[in-house]
Amino acid sequence: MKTTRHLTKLFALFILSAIIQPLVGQNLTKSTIFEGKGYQHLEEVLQTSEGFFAFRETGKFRTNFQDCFVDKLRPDLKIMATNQLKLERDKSDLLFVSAMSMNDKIYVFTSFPNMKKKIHYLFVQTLDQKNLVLNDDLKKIAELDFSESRGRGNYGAFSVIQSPNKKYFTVSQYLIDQAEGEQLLVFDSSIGLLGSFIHEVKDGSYTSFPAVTNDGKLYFAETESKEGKACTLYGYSSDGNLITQEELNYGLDDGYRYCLLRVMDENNIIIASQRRANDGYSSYVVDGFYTGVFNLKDNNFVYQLSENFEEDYIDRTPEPKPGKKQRSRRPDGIDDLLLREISTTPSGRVYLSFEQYSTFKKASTTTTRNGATGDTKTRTSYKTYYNFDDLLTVSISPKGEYEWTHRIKRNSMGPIDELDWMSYFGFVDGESYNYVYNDDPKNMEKDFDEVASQYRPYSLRSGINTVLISINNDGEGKRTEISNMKKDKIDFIPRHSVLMDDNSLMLFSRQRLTGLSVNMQKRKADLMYLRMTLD
Amino acid sequence: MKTTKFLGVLAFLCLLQIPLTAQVDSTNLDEYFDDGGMSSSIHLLKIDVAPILHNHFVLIYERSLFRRMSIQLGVGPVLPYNIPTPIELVGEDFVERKINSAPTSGFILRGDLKFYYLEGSSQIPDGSYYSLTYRRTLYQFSDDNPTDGRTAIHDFLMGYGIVNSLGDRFYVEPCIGLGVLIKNVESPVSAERELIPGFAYMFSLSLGTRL
Repeated sequence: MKTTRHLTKLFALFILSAIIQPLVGQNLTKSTIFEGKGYQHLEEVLQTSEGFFAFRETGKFRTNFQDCFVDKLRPDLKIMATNQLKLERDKSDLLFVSAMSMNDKIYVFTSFPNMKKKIHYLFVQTLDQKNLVLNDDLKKIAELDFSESRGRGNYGAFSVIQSPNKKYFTVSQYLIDQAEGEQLLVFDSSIGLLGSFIHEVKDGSYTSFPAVTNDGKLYFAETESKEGKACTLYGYSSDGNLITQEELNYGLDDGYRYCLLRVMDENNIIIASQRRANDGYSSYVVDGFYTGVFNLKDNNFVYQLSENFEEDYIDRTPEPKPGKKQRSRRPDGIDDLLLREISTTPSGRVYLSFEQYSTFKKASTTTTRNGATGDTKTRTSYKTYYNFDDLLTVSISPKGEYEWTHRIKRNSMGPIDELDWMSYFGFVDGESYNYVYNDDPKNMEKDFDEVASQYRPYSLRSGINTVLISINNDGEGKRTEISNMKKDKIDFIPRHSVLMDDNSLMLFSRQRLTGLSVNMQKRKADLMYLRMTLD
Repeated sequence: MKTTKFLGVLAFLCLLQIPLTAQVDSTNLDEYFDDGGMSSSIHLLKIDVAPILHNHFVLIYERSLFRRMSIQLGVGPVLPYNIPTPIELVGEDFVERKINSAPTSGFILRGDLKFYYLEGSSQIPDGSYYSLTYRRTLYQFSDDNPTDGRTAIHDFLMGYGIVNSLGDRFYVEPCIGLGVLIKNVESPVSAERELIPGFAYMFSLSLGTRL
């Protein structure tokens, strides 16, 4: 009996290895498969001395994830244990917010919106790294009053951000439809509250997500008004005292909006923003960028740089025909360009990574005719699509001088459940900046440098190729195909990739099933972690 | 002996202390989770007021079984007056009998399986849902009138409804449904049974509270 069981296992392993075999190439080294069950979404991957811990949420519907699982993985991605986290208290379900590793412990943040009190609570628990269960010591650390919020189900959200040395973290809370007063809290690694204060946000202004320094100070930028008339950098000590209030010098009067902040090293933080070509034109056209490095010890800027994109990278608007009046002319620039990430290399070079992101609504009209009266009724329904187009990289030297811009032509689009599939993952490897994204196989036949991806990987049916684009410190790009979905029978979800160490990347992917609709494939497909060696 | 007594008292005090400490913690947390049962109450009680127009009165109990799925059971009397439903006005003997003489008694039993489209992760019945309903209505007529008998109607319905919260605890729930019915008419004279199929509809308007 035992022999039969062993033989069955051996046979199963043989079949599994036959499936995985095509994946084992130059870059992709190992994989682990776990059973697909509904829609899946990778939330966090943490590393402790015990191994890697991957948190994924599953749900039966595209946008509604209910169950949270944690997988414990070895560096070779062998799954050592898996458990479903019991996120509930007194029969009330808690929402998964994030997970964080500090002091070699794993903290899991969950929240509960109390609909009667109109208060959204944030809790923290520790995860037993051996049994993968949450301890019972649920601790409330923040609360958000959403009694004034408009719209059903708008109970706001929390963001939990950690300092690079993992000794401090901050909780900021915000409502989706308003930001009249933002409460910010700073905690140390033993979840001791160091400071709590409210930053009054001016009407119509935007605040960036905060950055926490390695000594627990908090910095964020606030852009006044929708047109971005001015942007101010605020710094608070961990006990809530204002220590910095510096207006950023854009070199222009207006035209800035969302800012990103990152802690660069022990002494510096970096702030960057895309620059809007504000010419009274209603839509969003970007013609340049701003970057500033702020020294925390001197409480002063090391440099501030406000530059136009080079002519070659800007989309020009044709001149109006003579004699034809134009109410508002689109300014020259790049449409819907958003700053996604600020990265620094070991030598101090700064890379800004931008993505063209926009949404559009596709209308479908149905007309019905009443047989008795002859009246016709027209009903229009709209479906939102999301465009993830060109990727733009800007390099700034360690001295604060503009070096080069690189633009990757891309053209991808998908409905809401494909956000993670259509966007990209960007990371620094040595002195180069890298992108992983899904592209249409037809684009592989084209020269990468001349490019203009005319094909969009719209559907899983047409097949996709996952590519790695590496841009070196001279601004030269190189394209490597990571996987071919039709050949390898997998498709990647690039946005949820994680750098495991200096030369390997963990990728999340689905196994491709044949003979099923695209939707069924996404629901039924087994998922896997893959490790890619970068060299 | 003294030591044993001392240890005994200490053990007793410890036993007292442990639940006390736990209670303090849980009371603190309970404050956050005390939402008047809005997220944790899986029991609901309601009255369906729409059938009162005809001659039914139904008290319904609903219990959430799993996330997005609940079961409900209803029971109520058939009231001693008669306003026929639109379907009952379309022909058939039973209808005539029912119009001519109101039922003297009877009862209604109802069971529903409901599938909710919940947006959050909560298990509480809220928002729109689809339901599968079985309803049995028994009409008893007066013994004085020999033409009237005992009639049972079995409805099998598919419904669509919405649970709309009114404040913390109360809610209103309109529901419509369509399906088929089987009438089981028992003749008072010959005691013979006759099964008559037909179409059925449902309109209910429930007013309820979370328990």
